[in-house]
Amino acid sequence: MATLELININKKFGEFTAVNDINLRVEEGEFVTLLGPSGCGKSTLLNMTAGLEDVTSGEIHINGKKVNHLGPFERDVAMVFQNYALYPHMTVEENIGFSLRLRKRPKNEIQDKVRKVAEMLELDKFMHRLPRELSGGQQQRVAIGRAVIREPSIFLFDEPFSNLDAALRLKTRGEIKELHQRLGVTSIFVTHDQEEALSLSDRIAVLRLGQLEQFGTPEDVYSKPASKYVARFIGTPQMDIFAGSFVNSDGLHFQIGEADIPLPVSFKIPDTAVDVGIRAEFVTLGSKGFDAAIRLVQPVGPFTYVTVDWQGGSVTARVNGVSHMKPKEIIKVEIDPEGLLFFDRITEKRMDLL
Amino acid sequence: MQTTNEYNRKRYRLGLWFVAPAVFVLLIVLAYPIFASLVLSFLRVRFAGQGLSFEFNGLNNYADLFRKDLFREALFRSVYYTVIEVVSVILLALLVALMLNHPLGRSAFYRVVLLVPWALAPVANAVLWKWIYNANYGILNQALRGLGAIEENIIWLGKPWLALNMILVADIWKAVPFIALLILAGLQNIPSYLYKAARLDGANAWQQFVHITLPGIKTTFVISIVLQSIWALKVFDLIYVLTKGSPADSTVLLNYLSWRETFSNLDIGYGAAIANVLFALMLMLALVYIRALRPRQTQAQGG
Repeated sequence: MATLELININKKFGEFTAVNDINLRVEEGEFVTLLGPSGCGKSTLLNMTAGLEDVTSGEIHINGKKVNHLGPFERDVAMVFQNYALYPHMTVEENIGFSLRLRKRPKNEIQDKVRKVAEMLELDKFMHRLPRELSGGQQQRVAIGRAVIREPSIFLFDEPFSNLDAALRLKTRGEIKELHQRLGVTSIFVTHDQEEALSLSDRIAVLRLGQLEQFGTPEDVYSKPASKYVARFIGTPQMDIFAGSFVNSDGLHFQIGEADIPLPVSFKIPDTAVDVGIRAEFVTLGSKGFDAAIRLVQPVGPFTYVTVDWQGGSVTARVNGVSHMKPKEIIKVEIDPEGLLFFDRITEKRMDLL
Repeated sequence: MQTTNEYNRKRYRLGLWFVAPAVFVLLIVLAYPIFASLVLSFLRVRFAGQGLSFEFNGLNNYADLFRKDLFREALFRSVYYTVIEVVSVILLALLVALMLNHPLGRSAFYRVVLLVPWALAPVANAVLWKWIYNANYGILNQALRGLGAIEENIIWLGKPWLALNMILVADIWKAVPFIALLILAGLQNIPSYLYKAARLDGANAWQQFVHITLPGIKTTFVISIVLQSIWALKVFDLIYVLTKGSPADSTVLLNYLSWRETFSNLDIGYGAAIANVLFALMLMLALVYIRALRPRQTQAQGG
C-alpha cells in the first residue's frame, strides 16, 4: 500500500498541452478514478504515473519518494490495460507468472503463487489455455491476475472495461470493487464512464482539457459539482441548465421564462448573472406548477425519464416505475427549489447560495 | 429453406464460371509442365533424324541420379548453399528490420534505399556483381588493395569454394531487403502495449526481445525461412551469368545442372528427373509454408 502524489504535473506533446498543472494526492488504500471524456489527459496522466511516459515538468511521489527517474517496474506499480495486453503466445499460467519468472523466483514458489491468484480469480480451470482461447471476461481476469501477483503498492487501471459487453462490464465492476475491498491496495482507475466512476471510487478526479476540474467523493461531484462541466458530465440523465434571474416580489423567486421558483428566505442573492441546473429527481410532474408538453418518454425499469418542453428549453423528470404518459400530452411541472444548483454564468463555477 | 438452397446453388454455379478462366490458365502454365516433366523423366529422349524419339526408360533416369557423382555433388552444394543463404539472410534481415523499426530508422528514405537490390532485375544484378568481382578491373580487388588488405588481385570466381561463396554473397545481398521488409512488417504487427506490459512486469530490453519480439515474429520467421529456401534451391541466373558452373563444375547447383543436362547435353529425360527432385523438395517447403500461413484457431466467444 502506498500514497501517490502528483505535484504540478505538466505534459506537452509538441505545442499541445495534454496535462496542465495537475496536483493530486491519493491516500493509502484509496480507490481514485480519473474521469473525463477522451482527450482530457486522463490516460496520459496514468501512463506518467506508471512510468511509461515522461512528465514535461512536475514531480511524482510514491510513498513520499520522488519516482520521476524510476522505470515502471521500480515504481512498484501494476497496470491493467484497456486491451488487456496479454502475451499472446503464453498460457494463462505463464502470463500470470511472467513477472516472477523474470525475477528468477524458484519454480515451486511461482507455481504456488500463480495457483493462488488463479483460484481467487476463478481461472484455475484455464491454466493451460492461450489468451485467444479465452472469452473477453476471462482475458480481463488474467490481466488482473498478472497485476495482483506482483503485490504492487499501486494498481493502475486504464479503462479496463471498454472491451466488455454491458452485462459483463457490470459483473467485472463488482469484481474489481470486491478485489479492492479484499486487498486494500491503492488504486487509480481511468474511465470516461461516470457511472463506473461513481460506483467504484472513494474519490473522483474530474478532468477537462488536461486540467483538474474537481477532486471529491462521488457524493460531492454529484450533488456539489464544482462547475457546470462537472454537473453535466456526471449523473443520468444529464442535468438540464436554464438561464434565469432573481425576482423579489411576494418573496424571493428565481424566474425562468414564465416560471418562478420560490426560494428560501436564507438565500444569498449574488451580484453576477447565474444559470440554474436542475436534476431529474427534483422535477415533479402532476397537477401543480406550470404547463408543459411531453416530448419524450423513456422507461428504464425502476424509473421512467419524461422530458417535457418547458420555458423555451426542455427539462427531464424522473418518474417512479413505468409511466403511461404519452408525448404531446400537457402536464404541469413543479421544481423543488432544494435541488437547484446555481452557476456563475461567466465562470461556470457553482455558487453556494442556499 | 428451399429457396436459400436454390439461391446458394445459383451462386455456386455462377462462381464456377468466374473461376473457370483462371483454372484453365493454371492448367496450361502449371499443371501441364509439371505433368510433362514427370512423364519425360520416365522416358529416354533421343534426337533421331528430323525429330525426337521417345522410349520408355523406367526408373533409369532416377537410378542415374545415384550413379552420377555430379548430381550428388550438386545436391550437396545446393544444400550447403541453401543453409548458408537462409541463415545469413534471416540474421542480416532481422538486424536490418530491427534498425528500421527503431525510432531513428523509421524514415521512409531507408526503406526505399533498402529496396534497391530487391528491385534490380536478377540478370542485371548478376552482371553488376560480375563487374565487381572482375579479377583485373573489379572494384572489390581495387578496394581491398586500396585498404591494404590484399597485395595481389584475387580471382574471385576462379577457385572452387571461393567462387561458390562469392555467388552466395551476391545472392544474399539481393535477398536481404525483401526478407527484412517481411520481418519489419512482423515487428510492426507486435502491439506496443505488449512491450509496456512487459516493462511493468520488469522485463529489461533483452528480456523484451526474447519474450515479446521473437515470439511475435515466429510465424514471419517460418515464412521467411521457407521462402528463402525455395529461392536458394532454384538459383540459376547468378550462376549462368557469373560462372556457368565453372571452375571445374564447382558452382553447379541442382537447378543449373537440370538446365544443363536438358538443354546443353540434351539428356532431356535425365534433366527432367533432376527437375523433379527439385520439385519434390520445393513442394515439401511449400506445404510447410501453407501450414504456417494457415489462419489461427478462432477466438472463443462469450463470457
